[in-house]
Amino acid sequence: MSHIAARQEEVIAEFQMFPTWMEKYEYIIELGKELEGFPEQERKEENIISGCQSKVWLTAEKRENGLIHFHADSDAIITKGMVSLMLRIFNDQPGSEIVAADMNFLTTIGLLENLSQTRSNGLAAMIKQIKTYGFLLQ
Amino acid sequence: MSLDQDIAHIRKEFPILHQKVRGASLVYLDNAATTQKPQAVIASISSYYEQYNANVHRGAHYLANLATDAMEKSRDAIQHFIGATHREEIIFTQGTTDGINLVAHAWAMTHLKIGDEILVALSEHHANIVPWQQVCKKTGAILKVIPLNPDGTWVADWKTYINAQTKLVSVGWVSNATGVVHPIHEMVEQAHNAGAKILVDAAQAVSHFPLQVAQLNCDWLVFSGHKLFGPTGIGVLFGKLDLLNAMEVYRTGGEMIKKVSFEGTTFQEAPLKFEAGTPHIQGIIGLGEAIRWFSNVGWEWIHKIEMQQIEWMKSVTAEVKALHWIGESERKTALYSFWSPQFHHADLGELLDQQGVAIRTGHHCTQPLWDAWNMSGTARASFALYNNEEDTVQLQKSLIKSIQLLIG
Ligand SMILES: Cc1ncc(COP(=O)(O)O)c(C=O)c1O
Repeated sequence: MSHIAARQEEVIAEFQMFPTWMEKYEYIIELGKELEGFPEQERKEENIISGCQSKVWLTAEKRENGLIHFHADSDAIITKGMVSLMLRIFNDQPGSEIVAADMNFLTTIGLLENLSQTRSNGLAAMIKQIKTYGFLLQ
Repeated sequence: MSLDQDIAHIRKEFPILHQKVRGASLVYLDNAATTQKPQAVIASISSYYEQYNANVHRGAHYLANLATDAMEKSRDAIQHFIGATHREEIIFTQGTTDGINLVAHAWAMTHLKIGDEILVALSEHHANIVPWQQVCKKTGAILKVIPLNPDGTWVADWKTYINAQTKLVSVGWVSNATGVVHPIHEMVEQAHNAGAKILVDAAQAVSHFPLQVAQLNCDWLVFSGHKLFGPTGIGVLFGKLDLLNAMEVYRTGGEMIKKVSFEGTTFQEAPLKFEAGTPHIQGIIGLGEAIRWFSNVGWEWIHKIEMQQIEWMKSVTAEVKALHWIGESERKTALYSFWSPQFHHADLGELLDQQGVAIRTGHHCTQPLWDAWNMSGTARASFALYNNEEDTVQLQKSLIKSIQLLIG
């Protein structure tokens, strides 16, 4: 199993511990608050992912170890929590694995079923941008 | 009967309200976006298809006559409902947006010239901004904007924005972003004194108080059926009859013509002049029924319930002071836009949705307003005549729970 797939399994197992929507959201919000600081100079128009109701900024760099490191932020805390969850899965992985990843955890953790169309579109746009970075920086 | 019993009675007529959303009872507070439909309106549409579906004004047969009759009765009902002098002053459109576009194309595009001014207010819906921008681009006219006070009302010196160049004023009666009711009667008088025409966007007014267009003396007025308990896709443009007949045609084609030949075509008078093609028959019938239903409820009761809802909401806004509530002006409808510098409105909306409370979040199609106020939008709870005290209690509870989650 790839690292990405293993991390997805972890997230799925974690979310199984939260039976109610409140607990799930509590956790997501918590994750949002813990997301590492976003470099101020990157908070610009060209790093915004369009398609989200709230703003999402995403940048990526290839580090010396050859792995890709993402930075992201959002002005809405729930979105930020989702972004944080996403980065936990993708961060510091080789570009080729990011491109090849099968994104199944969103449906499995029972968050997506409750999500609005706008939110699902936003997440899809985010995944697409992560994979684009994975491709370009591999 | 008590008010509570009355509302309970009304709620029974709306099948959609009696459902659970994610395990909680639905609390529908997005009525400024669209209202729900009473059983009578739903039934009127089915019975049209079950009993007398036919094209109108055309077929020489029994069903066609029934359909044409029903359609024209709706026109009469609307004329009566909005207090127009002539039935020919009622044009069926697709909605508010469509009505404004009609006036923009069939009047403003050909009547305005370089240097003429069109006046709107900062809080207009995009539907009452973008068509005028297009007119300005084509004609060289200039779009002028009345600024707002922080409470959402027009600035005190709004009259100074009207001058000899002003040829058209197009303003919303009630703001869909703040719920503020603007002084439209005074505006009509001021516009006419300056020799300008005036269009009133009544999308957010039509279900809250009587429009009385003849008395108001506006040149045009537009609204959407779906915000008045009627179907989507149907709306009304009222225009003064002489003016309508003097206007250019907009969409052209069948039914709106008098005589077609390749040498030249002549057109019908209003309203048919503006109703090209097969109309939205089921929508027109549904809207007519919505107006009959609504009139039956009566303005007196509608006013009473809205005052009561505003009372209920006073305790909600007092309890949840941590949020900023916009538009606390004296004259407003039961529409509440709120925000907080600490949370994104999208977060509030999502958490309310999890608790079965339907509100709207975002820019509400009034982006220039939020830009001027340096905001990205708000969360908005908007009421209709079926919202009861329990709805406000649930709104308050779920707001508090959401805030607790967000500040965690
Ligand atoms: C004030 C105002 N004007 C115009 C519109 C546009 O109405 P419609 O989308 O039905 O054409 C709306 C609807 O949101 C509105 O609230």
